[in-house]
Amino acid sequence: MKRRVLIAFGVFVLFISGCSIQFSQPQNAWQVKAVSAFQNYQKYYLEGRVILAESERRKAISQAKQSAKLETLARVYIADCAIQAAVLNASDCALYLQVKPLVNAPELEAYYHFLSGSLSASEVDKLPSQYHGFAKKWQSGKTTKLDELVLAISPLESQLVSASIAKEMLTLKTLRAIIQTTADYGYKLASIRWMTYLSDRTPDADESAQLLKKIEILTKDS
Amino acid sequence: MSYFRLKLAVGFFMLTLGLVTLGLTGYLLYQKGVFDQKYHFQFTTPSAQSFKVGMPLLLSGFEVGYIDDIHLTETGLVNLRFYVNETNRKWITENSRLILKKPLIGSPYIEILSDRSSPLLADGSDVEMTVSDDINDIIIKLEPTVNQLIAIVEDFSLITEQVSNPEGALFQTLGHLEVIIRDLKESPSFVSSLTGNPEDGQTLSDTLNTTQASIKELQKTILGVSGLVENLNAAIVVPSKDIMTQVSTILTDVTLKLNTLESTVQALGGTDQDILILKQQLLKSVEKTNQLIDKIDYMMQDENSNRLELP
Repeated sequence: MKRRVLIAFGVFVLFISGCSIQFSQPQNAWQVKAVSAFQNYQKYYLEGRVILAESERRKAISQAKQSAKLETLARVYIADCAIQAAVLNASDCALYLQVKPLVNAPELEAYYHFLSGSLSASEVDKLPSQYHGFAKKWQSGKTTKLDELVLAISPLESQLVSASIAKEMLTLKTLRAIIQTTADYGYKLASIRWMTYLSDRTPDADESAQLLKKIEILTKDS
Repeated sequence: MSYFRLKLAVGFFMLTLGLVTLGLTGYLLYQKGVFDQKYHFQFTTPSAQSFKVGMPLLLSGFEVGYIDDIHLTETGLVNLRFYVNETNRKWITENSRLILKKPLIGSPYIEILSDRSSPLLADGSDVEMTVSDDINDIIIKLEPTVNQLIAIVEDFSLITEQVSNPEGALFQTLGHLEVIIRDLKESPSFVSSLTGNPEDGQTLSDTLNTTQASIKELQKTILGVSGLVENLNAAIVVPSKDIMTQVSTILTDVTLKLNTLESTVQALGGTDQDILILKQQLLKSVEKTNQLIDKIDYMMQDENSNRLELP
C-alpha cells in the first residue's frame, strides 16, 4: 500500500513539473532565440570568451533575420555597438546605420545618439530608464556627482556604457571601482580594457606598472 | 533357334565386326600414309640442342618430312635421321640443303631448300645442314658497314687534323697568299701599270679585301669542323652502351611511377564527390543538432522574453 502511494505521488509530481515545460513553441520563437543568443553573446564577450561570443552573436543576427520585421535586428546591432563601447572599443555602429532607415524605432534612434554623443534633451526620456539620471546630467554639461550617478547605474553593462561615454570626466577612484566590479563579475575583457585605460590615465607610475603586469598575466595563455 | 545356329550367328557377327574394324583401321592408316614407303636421309650437326624427334621439315611452309632418330656418333657429333614419304621424295635432291632457322621470336624449324633440276638423292644419303641464327645474321651483315663507318670517320679525322694544323701546308699556303694580297693592295699602281687600266688597281684591291676576309672565315670554319670531328669520333662513333642502358632503365622506372601516380590521381578524383556528399551530410546533421539544442534551450528557460533589452 505504502509503495503504491509513493508511486502515485511520484507520478503526480512528474505531471506537475511537466506542465511547466512548454512542449510547443510560439510563433515568434525566432525572436526569443535571438534575444537569448544576444544575452549569451553579451555575457561571453565581456568574459573574454571570444569564440563562443562570436558564435552567439552570429546566431542572434541569424535569428533576427528570420523575420522581415527588422526592429529586432536593429536592436541587436545597436546593442552590439553599446557592448563594444562598454569595453572601450570604438565603433561607428555601421550595421545599425544600414538598418536604421528601414526601422521606425525612436528609442533606438535616441540610444544611438546617446552612444555617439549627440543626444538631445528631448530624447533623454526615450532611453532605458537606468540612464535617465546620468543622461540628464551629461546633457546639461555639468559634471558634479557624475561619478556617483555612473556608479549607481544597474545593471553593470549599462554602468560600463555610461562610464565609457563619460570616461574623461570620471575620477580615478571611480575607474578603480568599475574595474573592481568587473573583476567581481568575472568580466575579464572589460577588466583588461578598463585597466589599460587606467594605466594610461593614472599619474602613479607604480600603479600603472602594476596594472600592466596584471594585464600581462591575464592575457598570457599559460 | 538351335544352339548350333546361335553359335554360327555369333561367330559370323564377330568375324564381320573384326573385319570391318580392321578394314577401317587399315584404311585410316593408309590415308595417314603409314603404309607409304619411307625414304630416309640424314645429316650431322655439332649439337642436338634445337632438334627433337618428330620435328618437321618444312618446304614453303608445308611439312614434308620428320626427324625420327637422333643419336650421338663416336666422334661426338650428332647424327639425325629424317624421312619423307613417296609423295615428297621429289623434294630431296642432290643439291637440296637443309637450314635450321632460329628466329628471334618462335621455336626453331628446319627448312628444305630444294633444287628440282638436280637428280633425286639416293635413299640413306647425307644432306647438308646449315644453322641460321637471326641475331648473328644481323651482326654479320652490319659489322662490315660499321667497320667502314669507323674507317671513314678516322680518315676524316686525320684529314681535318692535317688541314687544321696551323703549321700544315694549307695554312702556310693561305698565309703566303695573305702576304701577296697585302703587297698587291699596297701597290695598286703596279697592277695598273701591268694592265694599262688605272681603275684595275682599285678593283683588284677591293677584290683582295674580300678574299682576305673569306680566307679568315675559312680558317675559322676548318678549326670548327676539326673540333666537331673529334667530338664525333669520341661520342658517336664509339657510343656508350652503358649510358643507353641506364637511360632506358630510368625511363622504364619513371613510366611505372607515372602509371601508379595516374591511378592514384584518378582514385582521388573519384573521391571528390564522396567528400562533398559527406560534407553536406555533416552540415545537415550539425544543423539538426543545433535545432534540437535550441528547442531544449527554449523548453528549459523560465522566462522567454521576445524583447531585447538594450544594455
